[in-house]
Amino acid sequence: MDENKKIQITIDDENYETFSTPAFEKKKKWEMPDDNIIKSIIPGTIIDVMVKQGQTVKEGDIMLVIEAMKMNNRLAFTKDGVVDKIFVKPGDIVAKGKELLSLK
Amino acid sequence: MNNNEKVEALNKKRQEVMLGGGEDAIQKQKQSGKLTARERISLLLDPNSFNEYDLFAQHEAKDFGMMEKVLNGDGVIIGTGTIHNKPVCVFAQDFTVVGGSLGYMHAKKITKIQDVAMKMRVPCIGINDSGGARIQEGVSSLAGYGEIFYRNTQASGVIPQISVILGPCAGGAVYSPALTDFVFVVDKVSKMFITGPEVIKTVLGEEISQEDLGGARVHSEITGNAHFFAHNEQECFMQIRKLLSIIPQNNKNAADKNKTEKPTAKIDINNIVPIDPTKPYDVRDVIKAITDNSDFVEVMEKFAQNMVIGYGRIDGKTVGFVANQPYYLAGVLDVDCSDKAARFIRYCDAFNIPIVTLVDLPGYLPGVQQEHSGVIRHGAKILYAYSEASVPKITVILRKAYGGGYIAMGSRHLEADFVYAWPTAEIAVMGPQGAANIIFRKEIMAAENPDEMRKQKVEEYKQRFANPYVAAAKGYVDSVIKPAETREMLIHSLNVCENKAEIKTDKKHGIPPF
Repeated sequence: MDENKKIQITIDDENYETFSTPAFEKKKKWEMPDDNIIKSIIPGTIIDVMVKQGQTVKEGDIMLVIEAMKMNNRLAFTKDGVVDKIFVKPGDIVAKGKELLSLK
Repeated sequence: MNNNEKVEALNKKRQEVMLGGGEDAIQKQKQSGKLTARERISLLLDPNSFNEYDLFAQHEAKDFGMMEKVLNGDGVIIGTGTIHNKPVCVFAQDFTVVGGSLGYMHAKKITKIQDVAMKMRVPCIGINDSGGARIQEGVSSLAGYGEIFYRNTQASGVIPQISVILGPCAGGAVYSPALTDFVFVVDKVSKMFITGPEVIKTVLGEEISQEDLGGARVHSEITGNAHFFAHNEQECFMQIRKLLSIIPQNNKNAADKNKTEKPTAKIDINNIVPIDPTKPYDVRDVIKAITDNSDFVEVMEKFAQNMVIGYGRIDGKTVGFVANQPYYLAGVLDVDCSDKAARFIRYCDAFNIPIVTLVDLPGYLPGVQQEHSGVIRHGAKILYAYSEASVPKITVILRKAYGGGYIAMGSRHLEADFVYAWPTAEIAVMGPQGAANIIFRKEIMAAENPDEMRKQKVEEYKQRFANPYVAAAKGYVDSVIKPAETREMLIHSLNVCENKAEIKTDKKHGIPPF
């Protein structure tokens, strides 16, 4: 049973010596969301990118079209900003959570 | 034809049909590392005990050229047999016949044997090895799945239902196993998923192998869909036979009582638990030190290992163990282990198996991941299951029992029948460090040497509260016992509980948080 790694768990200021499990290792650590980085909320294929790097955008502007579950979804900005980087191009297949573009 | 010739013709007909998909398909099955459906049945059952039904069943599908197709047994074998001389019902999908695909007659055969199992109140074991729905039969095959699921649900809590995954089990097919009580998987043979790797790749662009998506290890360690993991099919069938020797045949009969045997493990029960509550140990050593022959049939051994569940015998009688496992994740309560324990408790309750709870936990696992995974509603399942269970409930607190964890783990407050504590028990609202930091915060802050003051206050708290006697003084613990007395106390308590009266309410059923 020692294939699992030795870890420490702290509960109420008490440090417990113990061992990890495969499922525990696989669990994703929570990260503070950054609303300047736009990630895909569904897996799909990029059909069109409507903005260019350096472009000033407004809340409600369409950034790109992603085909998912046979639907063309038009993704809109939820805040104003300037497009910093674009990580995808038409034809890319993206997984859920993939970074699409960033604002500054 | 005279009588003898008729008998000879039957023999011939039987032999033909029993070949399933034919020699080539059987060779293919073996080359892929799998046994045939018939070999599986003979490994599972007592020798020569199998009686088959519906051997000559034929499908009635007409579309897509199905009229001309003869599918032996329609791809599934059903029948009755014995395990340890007790009757069981079995069905085994035959992958050599059109990939074990499920058409309506195939499903009809399965529901027929499910109905026999239910009527006769005997366990039902399903061996799954199927490519899925028989597409040519369209909605009829969907109807078949639905009728199987309905029977799984009706039989739940009445007879033990066992699913053995020995090949693919994909799409809708996965839900029959998921509804049954025990799912057995075999390394590199079992494959279970709703959507296979090919679809995932085309739709989502995620590449993953069948093994990594839904292999035996994944379901044993990560998803918790499987209850028993075996390295090969032979081992798997031994596991099933072993399990059926220790659980009851149905919800009205008790499990067979064996001759009382003393624990055989060379374990000094006095010295299993390290006195320092932050040090790990294997709680299964405690179980082995109190069960007959030190025998323990662990369920879901590799999933949510911070909680140990399984069956053992005490004084010849089957009990279900629920134990925190300090060896893994300090034995904390979390989403997965709450789910695991709650379902097990409900199984024990449905089948009149007394529950012995061994407690040693620091509380719930803190963290955003747990909170966002719904540890509130999942954690509530344990409270619900313990409170609802009307079978004998005996709890032994081995070491720490802090906070909400103490309440959840079969405490007196959830109507445990008997609660015992070892002298090493610490029943308190939290560990001494945390408690002292809160209660004596002002004193510690104001002290010239806060660290020194904290140490002193922690020690003070330990002396007063980190013991079983505060709870014993209130009657929450019935008796503080020496570890070496545990087995005798359990035997005595189980005897006292023998005729425990069930409190019945007029509700139809409760609404557990699942």
